[in-house]
Amino acid sequence: MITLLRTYWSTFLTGFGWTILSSCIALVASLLIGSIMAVFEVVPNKTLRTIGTVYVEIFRNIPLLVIVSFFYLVIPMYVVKINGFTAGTIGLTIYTSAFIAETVRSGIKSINIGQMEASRAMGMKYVQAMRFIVLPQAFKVVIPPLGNQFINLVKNSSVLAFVAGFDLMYQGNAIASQTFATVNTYLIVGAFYLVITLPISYYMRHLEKRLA
Amino acid sequence: MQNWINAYSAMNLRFLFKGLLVTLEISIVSVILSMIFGSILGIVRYTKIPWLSEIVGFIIDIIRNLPLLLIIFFVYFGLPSLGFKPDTIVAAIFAMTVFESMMIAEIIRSGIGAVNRGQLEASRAVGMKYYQAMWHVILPQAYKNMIPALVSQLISLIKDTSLATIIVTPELMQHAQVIYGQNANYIVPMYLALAVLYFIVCYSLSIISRIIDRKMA
Amino acid sequence: MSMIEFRKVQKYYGKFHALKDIDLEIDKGETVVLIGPSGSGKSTLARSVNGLETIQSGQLIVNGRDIADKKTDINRIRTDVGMVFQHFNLYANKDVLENIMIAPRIVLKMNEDENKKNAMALLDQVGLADKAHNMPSQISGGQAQRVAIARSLAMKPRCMLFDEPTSALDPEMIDDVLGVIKYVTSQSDMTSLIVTHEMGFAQEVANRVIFMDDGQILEDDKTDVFFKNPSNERARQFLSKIISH
Ligand SMILES: Nc1ncnc2c1ncn2[C@@H]1O[C@H](COP(=O)(O)OP(=O)(O)O)[C@@H](O)[C@H]1O
Ligand SMILES: [Mg+2]
Repeated sequence: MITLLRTYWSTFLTGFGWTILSSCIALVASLLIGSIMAVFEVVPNKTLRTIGTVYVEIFRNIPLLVIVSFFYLVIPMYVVKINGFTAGTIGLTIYTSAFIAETVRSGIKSINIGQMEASRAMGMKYVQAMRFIVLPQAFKVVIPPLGNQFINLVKNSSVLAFVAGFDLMYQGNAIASQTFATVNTYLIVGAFYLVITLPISYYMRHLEKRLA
Repeated sequence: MQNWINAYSAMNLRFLFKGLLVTLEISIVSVILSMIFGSILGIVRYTKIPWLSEIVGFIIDIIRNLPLLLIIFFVYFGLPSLGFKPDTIVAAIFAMTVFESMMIAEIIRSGIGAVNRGQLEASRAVGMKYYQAMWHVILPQAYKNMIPALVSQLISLIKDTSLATIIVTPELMQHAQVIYGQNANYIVPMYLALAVLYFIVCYSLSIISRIIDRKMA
Repeated sequence: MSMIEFRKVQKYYGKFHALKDIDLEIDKGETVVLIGPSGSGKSTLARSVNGLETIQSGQLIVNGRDIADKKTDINRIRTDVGMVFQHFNLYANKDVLENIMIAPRIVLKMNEDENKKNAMALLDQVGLADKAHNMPSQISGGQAQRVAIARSLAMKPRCMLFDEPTSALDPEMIDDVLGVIKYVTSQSDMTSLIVTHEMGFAQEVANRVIFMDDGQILEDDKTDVFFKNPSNERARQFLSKIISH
């Protein structure tokens, strides 16, 4: 395993880098889209609410692989040439944003109406109550599940391997098929994923305990 | 237009449907196995048996934090070199079960933790053994609260079976690929079909879960 | 003959010394009321009698068996000792009747017909026969507590522990529950240990009153002596506070 790592370390690291890059781009983009969709889902306006709900329900209920492969195969055919990394990251963003929207929406809804009422009764304006009382609480509620969404995102980024997205999984497959050292290669690939996901996972559990 | 009609020929639709059946078969077998193993592991984890619970917890944390795709590769390409050669469907079920058991174990552990502690004390106070209290009082309440989490886990399991296409498991996604592999004009119709089929299955499940949840609340 | 006997019992929560050198004997058939300020260790004392809390040293003998002894079957003791909690703790997934029947079925292996007859009779005694098929969420707190008492009695215990059975109840429901407890304690062979803040009730049912503070028993008297002329200064202060309400 050591020799494998020594021979191919730059390949592993390249894949690791692409995996992190894809995950981070998709995280930022899906936080943005997801939050917008979450707000759409709770506002009084019916059109916006329908848009939000339809978006979330559709993309939560279709496999990520279907979304990613679609972008990889169809966009270059009709729109513009994109590589696997781009197609994969777009697919990841769309898929993840649907889950983030759901998380943020339930965070907003979990805050007791009494909190808003009590703040208003003390003479705060709606925006003040939102800003100082409701949102800080909603934020706390949402952090641990958002962390879990990020973990899922990192794990899910492995589908880039299907579309030649240069990521960790893709590079791992390449090494495994060259060397036939499948078990050791996949163990190393797994260790690289854990380097990202495990610390977040433990930190989120720690946060959950502290906030509970 | 002609492309769409040809893409959805009776033969192709039948082939897709066959793939869907395999997808459901893999999902159902995996979910049953994962519920069993996941419950056992979740209870062991919750119970705080010295050493055992910590080791189980560590294994759960490791596997939960790996991509399922990696586990599929490992099972299909890695295990044969360790002397176990599963066929593609068995490999898919094996990998899904390993992964989902850990996810479910974590759901079960926190579900049990969410049941009021007084329930366990009241059961113990009348002389029930720990496992009796678990079985008759704690678990029924825990499972009831966990139905939404378990169903959404089932939905992601069904979606995740599509990953098994990479080891050429003859499931829905793979069958669609076979069809558009013959004619690139079928790509868009096939992806539409995939989206619709997966959506129908998964969305119905989420509706059912919502109804159950509302009925029981 | 004593039913419960504490001999130099010490209980720690981590470093915190919750029961200090407890010596206490409760005879068969006696009704003992335990009072004291919040945090004084009343619950800890009561809960250790059926092993819900483990003691660190000393001996605790219940119905002739030493609880601290590893060889003692704790579940055997628990069938002899019923416990009623402040927050009822009815099994949320079972209806009222099933709450009463489940432990006799799986612990005592009681025959199903007898179990049911017995359970219905108990429900009748606590005045809730018509609620047999309600879920715990569908009855009031006072009713839930009466079901909880019936549930304990179904095990045919020789001894009952009540830990602030009325503290979580609305005032108008307290009397119904106290009435049931009074009936239970009046049975000549039943031993009861009751933690409560209801002083009038204590005067009515107790043979003895024990006052605890800071993990220690500071006063242990016959009921009339205790209420007329407690010797301990802190007990006197506590009484004057609670009765002046
Ligand atoms: N599980 C526990 N862990 C740590 N401390 C506890 C625990 N249970 C009770 N205590 C402490 O022991 C003391 C006695 O508690 P308790 O017996 O519940 O008092 P009471 O019932 O008289 O109000 C309190 O100071 C309480 O904080
Ligand atoms: Mg108490």
